[in-house]
Amino acid sequence: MSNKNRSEMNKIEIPKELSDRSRIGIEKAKMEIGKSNKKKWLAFATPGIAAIIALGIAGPGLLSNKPPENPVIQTVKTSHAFDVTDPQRLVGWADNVFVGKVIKMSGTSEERGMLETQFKVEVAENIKGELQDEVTVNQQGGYEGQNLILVENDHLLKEGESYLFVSRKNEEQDWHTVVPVYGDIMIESEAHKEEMLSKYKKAYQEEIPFE
Amino acid sequence: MLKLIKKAQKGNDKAFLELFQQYEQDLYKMAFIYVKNQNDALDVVQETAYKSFKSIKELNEPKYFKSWLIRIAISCSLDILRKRRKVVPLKPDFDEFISGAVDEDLTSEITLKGLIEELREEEKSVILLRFYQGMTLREVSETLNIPLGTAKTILYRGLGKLRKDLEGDEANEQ
Repeated sequence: MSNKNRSEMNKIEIPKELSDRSRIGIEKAKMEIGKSNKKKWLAFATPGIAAIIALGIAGPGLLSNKPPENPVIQTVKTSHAFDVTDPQRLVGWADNVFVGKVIKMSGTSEERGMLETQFKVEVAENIKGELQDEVTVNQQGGYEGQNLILVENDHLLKEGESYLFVSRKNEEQDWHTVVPVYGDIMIESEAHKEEMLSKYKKAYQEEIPFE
Repeated sequence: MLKLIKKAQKGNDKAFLELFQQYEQDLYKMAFIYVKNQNDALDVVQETAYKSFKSIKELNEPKYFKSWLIRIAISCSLDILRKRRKVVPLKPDFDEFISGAVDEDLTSEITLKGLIEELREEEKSVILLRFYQGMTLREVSETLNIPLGTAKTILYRGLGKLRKDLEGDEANEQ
């Protein structure tokens, strides 16, 4: 290679922000890779994501510990890659099926293209998988200012309540994302809990793996 | 380096950043030759970082990592130029320029101004890869995904232009 050539190229001044721009590009890609991975494992197509983005969720207030008293509920439609109303298929798709009590809301995230809320949950009983002690459950939706964004027919998890959760593990974030509606069933009574345990244990025995 | 590439392919962004930063200056300088200004050249580097990390999993041959980055950077530079012009440059008529007579020694006289001002994009690509990156003509043709003969043609045509430019400058000086 010609030295003259190289020295000509070396006349081009390197701006100070060059490394920062490399980093920004990589971070942007990382964020999008995370999004697409989540889309794959969650196996949901959510046309509502676009709607949510259009609603202009960006902004502060997502981490508010004091939710608005009368939030305006905005729902997002979803379509699923399998029949989520079929417990055998639902359990077959899930990494974990368990009963747990919601301790508190622990955070929100928008990194993956949709508002999501995380909760600390104390595990009471495992049906599928072996979770222990306290885990982070991630639910699509959450508070945004005066609005409560929810996946259609879903309810935001409530502190102090127990639920039967059907979830998939997000290794990157170390949290368990629940299936809207069919994967966060509120336990109404001890009898209801027994009924759910029995129903989902049976479904686990006869699960239909997701392919 | 192989280790870093493997890590990056598993999604490790820090490993990829470490790799990418070894080449960012070269990529920036190449981009500058195309887009001719600092802002756009920085955009090219950012976009190259973005696209390359997104598709690093698809890189089958880690030894071609650098050529692969360069190819992405060239493609990003051309995208910017296309947007700027709103017109896609036409493919040149290669045969018109075929000439085996151009002496590659002329490369010692390549000037930055000549590279930036006188050459078409494809000529910049071939000349930069051949003389700045030190690739063989075969490597150049593989990197740009063009036939070897075409790479040769473009090289000679580009060098021919630079010679004319040089002769013009010398005449003006006399």
